[in-house]
Amino acid sequence: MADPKKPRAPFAPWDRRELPGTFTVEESARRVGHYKWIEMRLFEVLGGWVATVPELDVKLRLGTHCYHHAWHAELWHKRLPELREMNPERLTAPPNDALVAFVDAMTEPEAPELTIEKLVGAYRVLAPAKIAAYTYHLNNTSRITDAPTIRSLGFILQDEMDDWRDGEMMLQSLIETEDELQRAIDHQTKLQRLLLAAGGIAGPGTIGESYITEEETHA
Amino acid sequence: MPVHVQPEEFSMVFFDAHEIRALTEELAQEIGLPAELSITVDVDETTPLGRSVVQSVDPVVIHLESGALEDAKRPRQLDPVGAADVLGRLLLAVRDRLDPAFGDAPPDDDLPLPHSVAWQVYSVGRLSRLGHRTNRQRRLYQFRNRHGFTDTADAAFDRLWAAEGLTWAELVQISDEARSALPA
Amino acid sequence: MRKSFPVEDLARDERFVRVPIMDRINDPRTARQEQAGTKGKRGPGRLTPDRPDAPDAARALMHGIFTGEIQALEGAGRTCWDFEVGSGNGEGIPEVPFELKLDMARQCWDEARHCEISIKLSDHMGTEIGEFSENTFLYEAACNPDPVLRLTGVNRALEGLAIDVFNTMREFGDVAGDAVLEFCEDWMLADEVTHVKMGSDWLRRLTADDKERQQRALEFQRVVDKLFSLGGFRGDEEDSPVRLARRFRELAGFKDDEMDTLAEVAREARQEMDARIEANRAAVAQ
Repeated sequence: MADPKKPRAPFAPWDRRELPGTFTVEESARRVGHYKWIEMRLFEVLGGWVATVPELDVKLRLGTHCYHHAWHAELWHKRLPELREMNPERLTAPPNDALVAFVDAMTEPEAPELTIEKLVGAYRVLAPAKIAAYTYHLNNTSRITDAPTIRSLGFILQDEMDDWRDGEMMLQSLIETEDELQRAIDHQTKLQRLLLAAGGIAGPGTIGESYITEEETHA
Repeated sequence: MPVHVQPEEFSMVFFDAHEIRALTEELAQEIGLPAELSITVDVDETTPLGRSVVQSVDPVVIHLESGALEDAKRPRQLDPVGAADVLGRLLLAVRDRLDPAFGDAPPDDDLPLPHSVAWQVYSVGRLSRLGHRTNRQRRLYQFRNRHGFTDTADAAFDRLWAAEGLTWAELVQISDEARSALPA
Repeated sequence: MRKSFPVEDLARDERFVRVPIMDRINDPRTARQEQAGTKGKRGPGRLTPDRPDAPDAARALMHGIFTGEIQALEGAGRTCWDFEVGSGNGEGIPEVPFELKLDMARQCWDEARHCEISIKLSDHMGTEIGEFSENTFLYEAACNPDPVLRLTGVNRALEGLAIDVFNTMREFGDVAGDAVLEFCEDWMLADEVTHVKMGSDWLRRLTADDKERQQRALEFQRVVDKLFSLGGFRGDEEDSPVRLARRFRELAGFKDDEMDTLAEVAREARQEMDARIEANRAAVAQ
């Protein structure tokens, strides 16, 4: 029988988590505030679109996805006070006006014949952007100090991947002609430009900086 | 084939007696009823309910509440497809009653509900094979409600649906055997 | 996209046909008839298996539930979009608390699931999507531009009706031996109790400091409840096709006096419907 008093390492040999992370508490809170803002905008518009789409399967799926993103917003809402932000509304904001412009354009389609445009906005532009932002955060924050954020990101990313797939399949089933394809391409291009101007859902640096400077090259 | 529709003119619903007459004549011919047989279709337009019975076979009188012929999506309008389902089923029951080989069945008002539904399944199955649009699953659901949600009942339904030339006694036997599988 | 979405724009595919409620109200035919030799009236009566038309009546009611669920989903979804997040004092721009929107999003999911369940039940019962007409008075009456009235209309009145209907269907499934129907209705019933409770809780919280607003909401609920009594189709009488589900309403936060009031408005609705039918028949006779 093992001796209960015999010392064990606090981190088991298979637990390779390291302490450092890219984000300070404040930077994490800033990002989380932006995440909450975009999740709110998304769940609101998905809920609003339910009444406007005639395709029954799409209508029902939007209702389900509406809840997913509302729950994500709630997770972020609860995380903010834990990151020293006692007034969550203060940080629940877009990173810049350009993202507001993107959301306005994404949420604009209303007519019943614009289901393709609605889904393109949510699933071909915003969903990949969110997945990218969340993945960057997951991989860069401290696995020890920011564990609660990582836990939420794990749940949220699972939803995002599932919903992205749902949305993409619905789009592929709706786009049957060259005209419909062109509509999807045009709307995606328009929205993608706006999102580019915003720098991502957390503003410039949403997914870090991939290009290195001359100095860094020769350091 | 003389077919009479009562009333000749409707006031509470927007049915056309001529349309009902033409539909009934066509069905009676398809089903093979004698050409000289006089048929009266008596519609009670004072109620939206959907009861439908063969009131007598000598003379032939079919009594329907207006809901039986009504379009479920257009209130007080005739549904030709639904009407063909109802009238066709009733006319097949008339043919059965007029056939000495079928045997004696109680009047419609005295039929136990399971036997009535079994007969409906038998009739609508034949109607579907005459090329009319029918709803098999709906009939299965009705049958299950009277005979149980069991494999035995489903098998009995399949027999009735596919059958031709059943006697009343055989029909009753199939129905009773299906119900015998109901939990006590 | 607009805030506040009109009922006439609710998007549907071609299978769905809408019938204005006035078409039903102006129908001179009556489902309740004098029974020969008795003082009682024969009517469609409660949904029990001994009714000869019970399976078809259940199918029609199930389709009505299905279209009602679509409208409930749409109503909850619109509430997510139509109102801004804020403290909202009932004046100016409609605002609701963040947590209320979260509850509405949860309701969206639940109602979407109910649509899915209803569709599967329709397959089971042999009902085609769009086989019966749709009446949009549920969305129309419930979706008020005032968030407090909307919650009252959707979560207390509309979802309250859902409790009554699902309970009726559940009991029918049980007595008829339809285990699939009973199972599905019971699960949906559990969700609806949650939704009504959401409405009860939020109504109380949003009007805690504004008794006048609370009173307006309760008056609005009375009006909508009467409409949703469907001329006596839903009531507390023995022969009401859909009975008030008092036990489940109690779980959802309804008090006894509220349910008694509901029974009373249902009786009023039935009497008014009978009078209207008589008037319609008299007009036709002329």
